[in-house]
Amino acid sequence: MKNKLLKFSLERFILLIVRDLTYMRKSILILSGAMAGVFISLNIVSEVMDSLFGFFYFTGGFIFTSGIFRELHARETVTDYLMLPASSLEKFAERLFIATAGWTLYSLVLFSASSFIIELIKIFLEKGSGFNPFNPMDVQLLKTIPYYLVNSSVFLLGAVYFKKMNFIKTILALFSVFIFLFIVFAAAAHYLWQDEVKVFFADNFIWDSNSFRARLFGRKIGDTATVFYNIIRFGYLYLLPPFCWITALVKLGEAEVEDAF
Amino acid sequence: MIDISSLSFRYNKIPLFNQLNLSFKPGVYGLLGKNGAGKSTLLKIISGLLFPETGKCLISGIDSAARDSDTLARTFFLSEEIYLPSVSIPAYVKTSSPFYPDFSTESLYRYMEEFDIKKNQKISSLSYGQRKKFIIAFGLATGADIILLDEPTNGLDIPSKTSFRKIIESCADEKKVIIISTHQVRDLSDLIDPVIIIDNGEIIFNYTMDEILERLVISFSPEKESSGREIYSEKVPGGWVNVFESNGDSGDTIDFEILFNAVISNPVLINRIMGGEKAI
Repeated sequence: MKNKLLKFSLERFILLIVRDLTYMRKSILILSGAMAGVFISLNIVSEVMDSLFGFFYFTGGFIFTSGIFRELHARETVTDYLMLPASSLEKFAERLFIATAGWTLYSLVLFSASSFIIELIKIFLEKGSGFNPFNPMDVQLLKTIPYYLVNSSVFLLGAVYFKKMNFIKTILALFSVFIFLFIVFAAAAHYLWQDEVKVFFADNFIWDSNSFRARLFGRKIGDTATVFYNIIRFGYLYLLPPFCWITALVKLGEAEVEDAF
Repeated sequence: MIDISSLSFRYNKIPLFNQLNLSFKPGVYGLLGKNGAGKSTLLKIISGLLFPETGKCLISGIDSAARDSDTLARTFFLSEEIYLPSVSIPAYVKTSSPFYPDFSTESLYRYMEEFDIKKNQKISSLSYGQRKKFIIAFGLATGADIILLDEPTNGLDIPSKTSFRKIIESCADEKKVIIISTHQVRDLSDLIDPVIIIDNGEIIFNYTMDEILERLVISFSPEKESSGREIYSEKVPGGWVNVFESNGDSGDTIDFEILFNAVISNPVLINRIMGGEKAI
């Protein structure tokens, strides 16, 4: 890559955030109003705030992240974006920040505010039992944030890599990777534990993740499977995000105007 | 200031530039050429929006393909595709100007006044021509010393073209390289010097106005010239325009359209008359 990747100025990084937030202000207001309306309507009927959060935070976040580099792929905007005086690292870091910390903060604030209004409405309507707004500091909820950060890295790469329909193409790419991995691991399992797998699947098999793991690990192959599981988990949590981020950064540095045509 | 050396570039496997060498020192360059000749591509390579296959384009010693933030801050590229966000002019200026250390708000408002653009408008309410004028005003106010303008007068009304000429004249100084790619040569006839003509990815003409006026004469005659001295003749309403080699007397103006057609029709002869191997 020809770009001076390591050039980073905190001042320019902040300027990029301010610029983006200014340009997105109207979209943020419209989305917030629409989503708050939907949440309030649904929650007055039934208590779904907590389950809605996960759906909104993850699905909405992935869709949002998939479109975060749309300026790079549109003929009318690519010149303006690439000519903006900031390094590729600064531009990438700013979009990464918006897609992760920005989206997380936005989701928590939106749900807290909506929930607060919902609770007030319920009190007014004398419905529900007390004042129980959405708690953005809930431990279980905060535990999901790292998983969002990890998964969104894939969509961030898709946002830079694909020119159109980034979200759908990223999903399709993920499916392809999963199918490939499934075939590889199935072949490996078949080769390593042929006899055990036969016994395992013959024994009144019911698909349940807890019983599956319990039974699998309880058997002779348990130790090896645990090692595999830990390797995959480590790769997923600690290798996948930097891989996606670095690849996306490199792709951003290599972007040319013709990429948008 | 801008040095292009051994640069090759392809568009979809079709070669455009092959071992191109060219340098720009401060001045207002007119970059002329037919459609598809490579003018816009050259400007995009200089600005770092396209990467050459081989060779380099250096701006004050820094590879333009590096898209270095400091180099970008001193480069303004006006593309044919202009984009401005849907915010007000003050909001745009507030969020974009801090990226340019030499930005002058005073100059911006002076240029906007010259172009007759109100300060507090929403960008979405501006017409295409007004947007173009605003972006030119903003670009020139950035204090950039590399100014690349791709068809800047397309879409501008007649008073705006006059304003554009005035503004460029006022901006041009001994530090700035201004390259104007255009088909509307008559709009910029008093502005550009030197003139570069590009054809099929090759620089076929690259001379200053003094050199052109010293060596070529363009004259009108009611009848077709048949003395054999003419390098190029073109029928115009009421007669013919002929291009001759100067016999020592320098002219004071030149018709760029006729010059362009003459160069395109016979670049080898024109360059021999111009005295050199400077181009081709």
